[in-house]
Amino acid sequence: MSKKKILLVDDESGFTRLLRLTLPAYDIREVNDPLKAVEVAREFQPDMIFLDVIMPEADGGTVAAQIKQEPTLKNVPIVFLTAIVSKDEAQTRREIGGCEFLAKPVSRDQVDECIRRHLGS
Amino acid sequence: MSGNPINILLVEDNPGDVALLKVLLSDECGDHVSIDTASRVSEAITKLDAGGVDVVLLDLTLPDAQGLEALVHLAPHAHRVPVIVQTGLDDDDLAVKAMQLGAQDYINKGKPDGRLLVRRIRQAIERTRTARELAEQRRRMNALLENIPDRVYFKTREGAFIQVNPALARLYGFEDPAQVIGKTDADFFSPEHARQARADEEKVLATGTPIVGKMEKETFADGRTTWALTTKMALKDEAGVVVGTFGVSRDITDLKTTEIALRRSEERYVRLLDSVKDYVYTVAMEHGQVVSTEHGPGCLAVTGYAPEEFKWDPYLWHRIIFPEDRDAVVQSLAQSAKSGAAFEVEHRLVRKDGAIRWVRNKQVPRRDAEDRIVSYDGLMSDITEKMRADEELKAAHAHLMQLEKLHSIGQLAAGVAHEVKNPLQIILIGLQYLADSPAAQEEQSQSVLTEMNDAVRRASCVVQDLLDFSSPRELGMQPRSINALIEKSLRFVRHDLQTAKIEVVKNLAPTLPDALMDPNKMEQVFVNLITNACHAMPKGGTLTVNTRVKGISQTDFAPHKPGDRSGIGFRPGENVIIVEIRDTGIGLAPTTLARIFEPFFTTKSTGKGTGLGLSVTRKIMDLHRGKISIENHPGGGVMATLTLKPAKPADGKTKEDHEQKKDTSRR
Repeated sequence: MSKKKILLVDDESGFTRLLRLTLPAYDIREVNDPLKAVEVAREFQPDMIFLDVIMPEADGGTVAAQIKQEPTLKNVPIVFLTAIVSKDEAQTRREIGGCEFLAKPVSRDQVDECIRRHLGS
Repeated sequence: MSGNPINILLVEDNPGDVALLKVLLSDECGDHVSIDTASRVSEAITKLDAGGVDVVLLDLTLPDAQGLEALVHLAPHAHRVPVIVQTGLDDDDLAVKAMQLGAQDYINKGKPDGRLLVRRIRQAIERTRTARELAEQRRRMNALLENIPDRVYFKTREGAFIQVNPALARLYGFEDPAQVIGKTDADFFSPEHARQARADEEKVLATGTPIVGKMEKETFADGRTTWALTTKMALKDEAGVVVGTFGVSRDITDLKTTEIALRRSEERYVRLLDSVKDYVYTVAMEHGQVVSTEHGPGCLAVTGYAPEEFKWDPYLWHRIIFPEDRDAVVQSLAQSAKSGAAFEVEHRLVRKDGAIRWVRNKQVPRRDAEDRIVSYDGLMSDITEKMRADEELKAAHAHLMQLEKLHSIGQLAAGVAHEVKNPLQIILIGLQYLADSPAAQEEQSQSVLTEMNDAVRRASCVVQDLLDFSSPRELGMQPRSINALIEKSLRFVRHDLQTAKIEVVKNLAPTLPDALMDPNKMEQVFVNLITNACHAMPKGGTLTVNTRVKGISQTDFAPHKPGDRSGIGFRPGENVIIVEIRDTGIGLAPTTLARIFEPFFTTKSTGKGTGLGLSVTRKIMDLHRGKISIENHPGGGVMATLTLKPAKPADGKTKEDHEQKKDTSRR
């Protein structure tokens, strides 16, 4: 069985690299430049996408909107990672937007659990 | 026949006729008649003047007067005694003339008939008596109508005057009451008033029921007005048929004018009193002691005490100073006495009616030639309204500042969070990466990694709390049950409660109205407070949670500290929801209590709390326009009291009603 493909978009290369290393069970592609995120996604065709919210040049919301316009990607689950969300906001946004928010710092296990929940593996 | 005999004076010079009449009368009446005689007019006059005569039988042919001359002489002396003229001739003309001159009747001497004579004597007496009584009644009635200051009138069904008394005529501008006859109210009053008066008359005519003592403003055609107290009644004929109206009205213009003037004067007094905000006073001193005080009349409006009360009691001014402000005022006074400078101090005073007012007290000491203070002259100004407006302005300003501060903190927190959490994120994942490496399998390495992991989580928690504290989120208000939310919050911290062996006592009012709230935020409040209570009882204890409805009293939220907007929306008389959460810990030091809501203030050891919990709690209560207070309970431990508005005005049940029905279940 091939590994699930996960796209990880975050300008913190240290984080993306370490997360990839700690989750060898998945095929993780890192993108540290948000402007390249859509292009990589189109080419990589991930099963799931983790998007940092605050990045230079383009924020997570803009990137998500562009990805959603891609016919082959519009149904791919997107989970936002953010350092500046209050507990209430994380809860409320999940209820409203249908997109999940994970408050940084997240543990490897939280990410793993989140992937399993969405992809059912 | 019965009663007294009839005294008849028989004026007759013919002894034969006298004898005949005596016989006829005694035959008919026996001793019920007493007959005296006079043979001349002059004699008859003497006897009439002496009194005791009931009737005079007068012959018209007497030695000292012939024909009607006798009657002319006699009549003035017989004004209350009927005179029956005896004519010898059958002369109707003479009889008619005699009647016109005042004779009551006449009889023909030529046809003596005892029975007829007696009957006519009796009728004459009766008629005279009736006429006399009628005249008397009329005289009395006229005296009343002529002299009474009240106005009296009689009207036809159509409203035309039949009779009025002089008082009414004068009101209408006539000397002679006869000038009013035939006129109606419309001739004198304004159309509107005449219509109203006519409507009243028609009501009386239709129902027969009088209108008694109606106070009315009469407006005349020329615009002049008077006030009257009027009674109107139905005028009936002998058969009891209503033929018109009659009435009496009393002029009460003077009374009414006085009453109106009095009322206006009172209103003006009240207005004046209300507008008085200042008064001057003098405190006379001798050897440094107050000997007397003199207060201007305005002191009544400001303090509720009259100038005399201050005069009688030289220390009243001191006693009415609000107790907490007394020392400051006295100190200013002492300072002023020492320096000789004028002083100005703003303080509260307790009015006679118990109300608290803010005043500005300006005082100038006056000295004698030897530089001794002999008096203080002062001006006291009521500045309560100004203070209230200032307070509200300060509170609004403070609220604005608070919002701006929160906004800045929010921006700062977001920046800090981003810059701190991302490195923490790398450290956390890095630690997990290292934990998987073979080197980490050593026991010591594992414990180092665990410590580092904990440190990252703690740092993350602080940043998260800061974010939560500063997030300027709008509330999602909805009506929810406070009791249900308390139950939910208790379940949330069940593990902590059980671990610390804490017993929970719930006194939740079963009829508690829903509160308007953001359930997530309010749950955070309850969880924070219950968690704090748990931390206060590390060796076990009792957590008590009470809910009830309470009526706000005047004193509940009286003085607001500047900037304190908690509970500002509550009004006396309003019903509110009270939640009390109490622990049985050791309580808090006063210095701690004073700072308990300050951000980052904590009594917990590092890592156990960020010092933001109660700040967040209070912020949430503020956003709900509620109130939170935390105090040491007299029975030990700390009690947090929350006050919240019901979703809709609470039912009219009293606090006691709710308390009686309280659920006192324990678990």
